[in-house]
Amino acid sequence: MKTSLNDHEYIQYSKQMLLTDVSEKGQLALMNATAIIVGVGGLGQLVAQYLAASGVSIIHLIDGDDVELSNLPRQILFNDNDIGSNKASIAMKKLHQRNVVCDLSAHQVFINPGNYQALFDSLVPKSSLASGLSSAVLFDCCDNFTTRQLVNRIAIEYKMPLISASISADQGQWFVYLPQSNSSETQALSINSHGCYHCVYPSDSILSQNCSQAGVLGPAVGVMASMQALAGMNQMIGRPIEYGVLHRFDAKRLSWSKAKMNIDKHCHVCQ
Amino acid sequence: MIEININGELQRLQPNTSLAQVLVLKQIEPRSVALVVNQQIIPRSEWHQYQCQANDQLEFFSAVAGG
Repeated sequence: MKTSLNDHEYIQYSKQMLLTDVSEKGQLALMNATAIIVGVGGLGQLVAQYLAASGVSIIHLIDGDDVELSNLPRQILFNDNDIGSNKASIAMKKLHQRNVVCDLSAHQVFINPGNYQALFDSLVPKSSLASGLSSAVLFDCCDNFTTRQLVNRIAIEYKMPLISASISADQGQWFVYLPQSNSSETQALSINSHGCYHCVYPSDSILSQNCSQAGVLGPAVGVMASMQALAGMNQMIGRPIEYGVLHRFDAKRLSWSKAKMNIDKHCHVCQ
Repeated sequence: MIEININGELQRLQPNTSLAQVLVLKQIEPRSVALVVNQQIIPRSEWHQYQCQANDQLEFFSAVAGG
């Protein structure tokens, strides 16, 4: 565990630490934090860049997808030379070049109900969860509804704070929730009060189209990824967050709205 | 009759109209939307029980899964 900054780090992260409620303590929290990013496409590659540059210690990148030409306008970590290569692997290499102290790993896999436990058991040892929430923060940056349902289940099973964002056409959505915890400190904010992704969107929901079908503008993805990275950093630092609030962004009108999530007492995922 | 607001438009309803009945009235497939009443998301399992009140602000929108 890192307990102090060297001179180089003081200068590098000085603008973050100038925020009075971040300070050296918050910077050290970032430098001891673990992020798990599911999906290294439009959202994930930006979230990863922000987290790595801010000093987050450990970042796991999970994606089985390869870079395609049509990704480049919004997935700006990648370029022509990366086409055909795995996104998680390329992102890991490029981010490591810029952030040598960041411990990055690439998991070149599409998670599914049959393989997620082997992966997450290795990333988030369940023995560490007995006393409460995992210290790792989970970012849902994937591009399909089925995986979003699975990521929601993983957040609950492994007691990880979930920072979820999505975007398609001109509609973006993001939220943060805390799974149920045994810790008295976080019990009041537990999932019992605000429910989970499945409480809002049951798994038989009929969906809007995804990016590949509906199109999207790069900066709209960037807005959602920025909110997601910012919310994640606030969570890692320990700044106050509105848990269980679904934020919606209209990228055409450039307007925001929000609504409080509520538990579905019949939810078979979080109840 | 009562008046509520649905996605910014006034709608007159019979008293005691449920959210499920509003969707039927608007010809909306229930599985295609989430429903917000007065900035609170109402889980789908409660749509039959929830009765609209005068001046309710109702919004419906779809899930977005891209990224």
